[in-house]
Order: sequence, then C-alpha cells, then structure tokens
Amino acid sequence: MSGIFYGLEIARRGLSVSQRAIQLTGHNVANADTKGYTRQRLVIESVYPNTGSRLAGTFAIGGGAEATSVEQLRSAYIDRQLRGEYASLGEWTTRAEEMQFIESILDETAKTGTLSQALADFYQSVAKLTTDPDSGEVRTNMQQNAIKLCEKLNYYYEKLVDVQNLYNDTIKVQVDQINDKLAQIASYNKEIFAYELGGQTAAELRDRRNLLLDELAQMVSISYSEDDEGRLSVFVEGHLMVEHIEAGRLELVADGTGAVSGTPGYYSVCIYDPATKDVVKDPDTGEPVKIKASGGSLKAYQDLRDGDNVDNVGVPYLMEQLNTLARSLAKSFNEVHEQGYTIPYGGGTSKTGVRLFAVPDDDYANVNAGNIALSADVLESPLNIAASSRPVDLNAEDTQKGNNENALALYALTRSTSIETVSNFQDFLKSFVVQVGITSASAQEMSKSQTIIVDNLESRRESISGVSIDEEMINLVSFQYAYAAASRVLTAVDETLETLINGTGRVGR
Amino acid sequence: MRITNNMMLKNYLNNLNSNLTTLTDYQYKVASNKNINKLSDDPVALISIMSANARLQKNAEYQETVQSAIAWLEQTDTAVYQLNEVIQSAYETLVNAANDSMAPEDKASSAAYIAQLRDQVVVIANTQSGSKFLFGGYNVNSKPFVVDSTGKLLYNGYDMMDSANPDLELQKGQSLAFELGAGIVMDISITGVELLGAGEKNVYYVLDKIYDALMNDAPAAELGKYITDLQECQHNVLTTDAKVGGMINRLNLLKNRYEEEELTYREQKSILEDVDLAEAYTNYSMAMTVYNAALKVGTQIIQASILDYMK
Repeated sequence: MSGIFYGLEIARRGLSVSQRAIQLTGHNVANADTKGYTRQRLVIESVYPNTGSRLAGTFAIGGGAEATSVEQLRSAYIDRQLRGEYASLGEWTTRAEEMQFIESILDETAKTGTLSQALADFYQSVAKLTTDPDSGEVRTNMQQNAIKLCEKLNYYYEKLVDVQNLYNDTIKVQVDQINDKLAQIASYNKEIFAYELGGQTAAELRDRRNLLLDELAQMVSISYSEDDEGRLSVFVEGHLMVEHIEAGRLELVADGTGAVSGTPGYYSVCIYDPATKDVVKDPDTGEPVKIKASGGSLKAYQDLRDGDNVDNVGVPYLMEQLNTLARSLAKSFNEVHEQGYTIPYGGGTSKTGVRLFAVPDDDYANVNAGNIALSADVLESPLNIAASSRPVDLNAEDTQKGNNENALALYALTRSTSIETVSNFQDFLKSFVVQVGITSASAQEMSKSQTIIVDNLESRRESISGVSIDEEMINLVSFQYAYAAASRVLTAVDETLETLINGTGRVGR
Repeated sequence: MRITNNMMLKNYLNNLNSNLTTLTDYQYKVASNKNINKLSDDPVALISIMSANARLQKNAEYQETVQSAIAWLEQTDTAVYQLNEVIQSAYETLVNAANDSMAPEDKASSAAYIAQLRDQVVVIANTQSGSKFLFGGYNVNSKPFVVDSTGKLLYNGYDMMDSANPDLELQKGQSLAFELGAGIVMDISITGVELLGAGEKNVYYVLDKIYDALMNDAPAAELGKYITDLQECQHNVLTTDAKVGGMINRLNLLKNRYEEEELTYREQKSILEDVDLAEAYTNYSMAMTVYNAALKVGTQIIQASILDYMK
C-alpha cells in the first residue's frame, strides 16, 4: 500500500498543474495581439505509480499529473510555404507601388501638360507653317511649341533619372536592413541554442526569430535549414549567410553606372568575405560575385533600376524609349529641315542646311530625351525655320517668302509611317504610354493575386498558431474547476488524516 | 477550420479595405468625370483614347487648313470675277468702236476708257488677301505685277510678253499648295501667269494693243482681230473661274466631311473616356451600401465574445 501522505502529494501536483495551466492561459491571452506570437500549450502527463507500491504486490495507483513542458503550436510546413510566397509578395507589391509612382510621373491621361499634347501642339504649329510660312507669329509659335516639346521630353527624362537614382539609394537601404536581420537571426540562434541545451523550448525567442525570417523572406529570396541539434542556417539567394551563430553580410560595391542614364556610383550587391576582408570572388574569373535577387523587394528595386528590355520593363527601358523618340524626332525633322531655306534677317542671306534640333558633336547618337533642344539657329530667330524650298531674297522681285514646299515636307513627317526606328511618332508615343500602363496594371494584378495566396496561407497559420480568446476562456474555466477539484481532494485527504490522527486510538473514551 | 479573433479581425480589415478601395475608385470617377484616371486603369481603352485624340488633332489641323484654303479661294474667286467684268466692258467698248463710221475723237475717248480698264487689270492682279498677294505664287509679300518705265508688264520681275523665258514657265508652277488631308496636297493659288496668260494673249498686252489701235484710229477690220483676242482672254479667265469654283465646292465637301468625322471621333472618345454619371453614381451608392453593411456586421461580430456570457 502506498504511503499515508501519497494522497496529499497527488493533490499538490493537481494544484500545481492547474495553476501553471492558468498562468499559461494568461500568457496566451496577454499575447493575443502580439505579432509573430505562437500559442502555447502546457504538456501535461500523468505520473507513474511509484515503484515501491508495485513491489508490494498489490495494484498501484498513479501519482496524479505533472506539467512536463510547454509546446508551441506551429506548422513548419506552412512557414516554409509562406516564406516562398513572401518573396513573390515582396517583389510584386513593391513593383506595383513603384510602377504606380512612375505612371503618376508619366501622366498622359491628364487633359493638359502631357507629352502627347506637346507633340500635338508642335504638329499643329507645323500645319500652320504650311499655310502661313511668311508669318512671324506662326514661326514664333512653332519655335515655342518645339521648345515646349523638348522641355517636356527633358522633364520626363530627368524625372526618370531621379527615380532611377532613388532606386539605387533604396537598394542600399534594403541591403542594410537585410544585413541587420541576418545579424539578429545569428544572435537569436545563439540565445536559442543556449536556452534549449537545458531541454526546454525557447518559445518566445523562436517566435521572434521566425518573425525575422518572415520579414527577410519579403526582401530577398531565402532558404533555411535547422539541424538535429537546433542549429539554424540561412541562405540568401543560395549563398550561406548565417551559419548557426555566425552571420555574414552583403557588401555594396559602387562600381556600376546607371543603365542608359550613365549615372556613376551604382551599387552592386556582393558578399563580404571576413577571411580576405574583401568581397567574395569567383574562383574561376576572380571577379566579385554579384547577387541578382530572384525574389523579394530587392529584386523589384534591382529590376526597376536596371530593367532595360521589354521583358523586364524598368526605368532604363522607359528612358531608352524616350531617347529613341527624341533621337528620331531630331533626325527626321533635321534631315528635311536642312533641305529648306530660311528667311534672311539683319542683312544676312537665306541659309540652307540649318538644323531644327541641336545635334551635340554632330552625332545623332548623342541626342537623347534629356538633352534634346532646338538648334542655336532656330533659338536665335524663328526666321531660321526653313519653310521654303528655294532661297528667299527679300530684295528680289520674286521674294519666295511664301514658298511653303519645305514646310509641307516637314508636315508630311507628322503622318508618315515610315520613319526610321519609330515608324510614326504619335504611334510610338502611344505604345510607350500604353506599355507603362500595362506594366503597371499587370504588376498590380500580380500583387493582388499574390496577396490572396499569402492571406490564405497566413489564415492557415493563424488557424493553427493564433490565440482564440473564446478558446482560452473556456480552457480557463476548465483549469479553474480542475484547481477547485484538486483543492477539494486536498481537503478530503486532510479530513481522512484528521480522522486517522485525532480520531483513532481513543476507543472507549 | 479553427477561427481565431485575429483571423476575424484581419479578414474584416481586408474586406473593409477592399470596399473602401472600390468606394474611392467610384468616388474619384464621379468627381473627375473621367473613366481613366491612371495609365493602368484600362490600358486597352487608353490605346483607343489616344488614337481618337491623335485623329481629332489631325482633323483639327486639316479643318483649319481647309478653312484658310476656302478663304483664300473665295477672295481669288472675287478677283477673277472682277477681271471677267473688266474684259467684258473692254469687249463691249471694242465692239462699239469697231466700225468705220466712228469718229477718231470718239475712238480716242474709247481708248481712254480701255486704258483705264488695262490699268484696272494690274490692280486686280495685285489683289491682296490680308497682307498677301493672291496671284504672286510664292512671292506673297511684294507686288507681283509692276509696269516698268518702258510700259512692260513685269510679273515677279519677268516680262509677261516673253513667253519663251523658262523662268516665266517656272513661275507658272509656283502656286501655293496646302495639305488638306492625309496625302492630299492641292494647289490652291492661281499664279499670275495662269490668271493673265503669257505672251501675245496676255490680257494686259491685248488691252494695251487695243488702246494703241484706237488711238491710231485703226480700221474696223484690224479692231475686229482684237475682238477674237479678247474673247480668247475671256475664255481663259472663265476657265480659271470655273476651276476656282470647283475647288471651293470640293473644299466645302471636305470641310463637311471633317466636321462629321470630328463628331464621330469625339463620340468614340467620350464613350471610352467620360463617365456615365448615372451608372457611376449607382455604382458609388452600391459600394457605399456595402461598406456600411460591412461596418455594421463587423462591429457586431468583433464585439461579441464568450466573455459577455461568463460570470
């Protein structure tokens, strides 16, 4: 038979277990809104009967219950799925937001002040030149509209350069944040490992580390693994960046130039090598290993900063489109304009071979949307617009001042569909604008559908790991009853002992 | 599925947010009266809108050019008509004078009248539209027709009598052309050479010779020869007049076509671009109702908890 105080011990354990369960419920409820918190459960096991009782040959009664550990309710599988999707989410939400910003700069839906409008106004003034080639007002109007067109192209281009530079700066901020998170993960690794050596789960520390992994996954594509001993390794874009308690870091090297704009000081993302105190280099080529992000917001910023083709529409691609338009405008209009003759003024003679748009260093490759401007001649006087096909001589009997043949040739360019590289200016501009719209719209669509996927997974995670107040309250009631019952057991045992100690051996008294 | 409070809150917030997005969208449409407020709103419709804009733009340019061409031609028409009147008067005077019974003094007074008509021809040929000479070809700013001290009529510096001069032939081709439609480039000015004719059959010279003949009391037979010349001149002027009239008609047709086209393009553009206010407002009201309902239901669900029923 078990010891006389065995019942007291069982009751004590019962009280203790309920008490801890109530405390843990309190902990859960308190953290119901804590970001990254995973709900915890007390693992309660029944206690084996002690060996002495069994040796006595009779049946044995168990020793009540005890709390053996605290467990977290979390699914590592959903976590892993989520982190894969976070990379896409980070990429597309960033891309969508930034494209919306870019389309707000290139706002061609506005009623006035657009590039399409500037081009149309320029066309209209060329049309007027064909009907009134001798009018100073018409010529001034054409000069001013051409200036306006150049300035609008310049403005768009400058804004795009600003945005490109901004993305370069943002990449620096992103990399700093990634490095910071990597260092934090390594430091949590250390704490968790030390804590868990004692066999306990470092629940709160793991929550915080998981949150860091979630955040990191939105910035860049990561993978990670934890070995049997609980040592975590994190790979960034396939490169080992955290190995248990050691954190590596990404290093920015300002060795690049902005695509198309040519702005110097553009960052390449490399890996710091503590052994050589330099960046990691490719063993074959000796060149620094450069990271091109495959997911996360870093990819979005790198793509937007560097994307220069139709499959990867970034700021450089848009700038190049504008450059093509500007170059082509300058070249086609100049070629026709050079054929014509100007109206002489100030004692001069009628000139031919005059350019409408300036060509730096006589090479059309130097003309871009950022620098397109009228030629010095036309800026000096609108009379230098060459509308005539023959020399104009104001003193001759036949002045030729009303000759509009070259103006007609200029005007024919506005509807031509065989202009080098662009075929038609208006159509080219239209497809440029529409492309911005489509790129932005598809990024928004991608971002929306990715949000739905992530929301769904987060719901599943929340379903497993989240705290439900209702549930906790019901548990609380049950633990409270268990506690009351255990104390009732204690009272019962106490009364039994009272009877035994004070009520026995007094026969006949 | 196990549902937690946070899930409910999060779903609620997500839904509220998407309701608000829709609401803002409609609100913006109603306020701006535009269907497309961002490039990404509807890139496909944007293509059509931009195309319509480009067509409207070209249409406006052509309308303006056609309008200037019509104004130019109407003035040309008036001048040509006046020229015809002058020739008609000269013709009548000449027919009267062409009989041998007419006294030399009477012939001299007829000659004086012819001289006036002859000078009138130069005035008409130098008619201006605004500051531009209608019949000067590309020489729009200085008088194309000048009578020099020797009595020669010069057109842009070339003797109108010298019909063999290739430069004069070149002047004939220098009529102003306007682009009146895609690829439609039309000559809209009548050059002086066309108007008065060059060489022997030049209106001015014919009148000048009639003047000389009348002054010299030429016999009726000689004067009769000039009647044929004058008839030929008149025929030439009437041909020009018919040509100008035909062009005006054609341009008016073109103008009407452009006006109709403009309406069509505007309508196309409006359908794509402008908000159907009734529809937008209905959508807006519906979105508002949904939003209100979501708010009401949400607050009820979120507030409820088992805590309300525990003692």
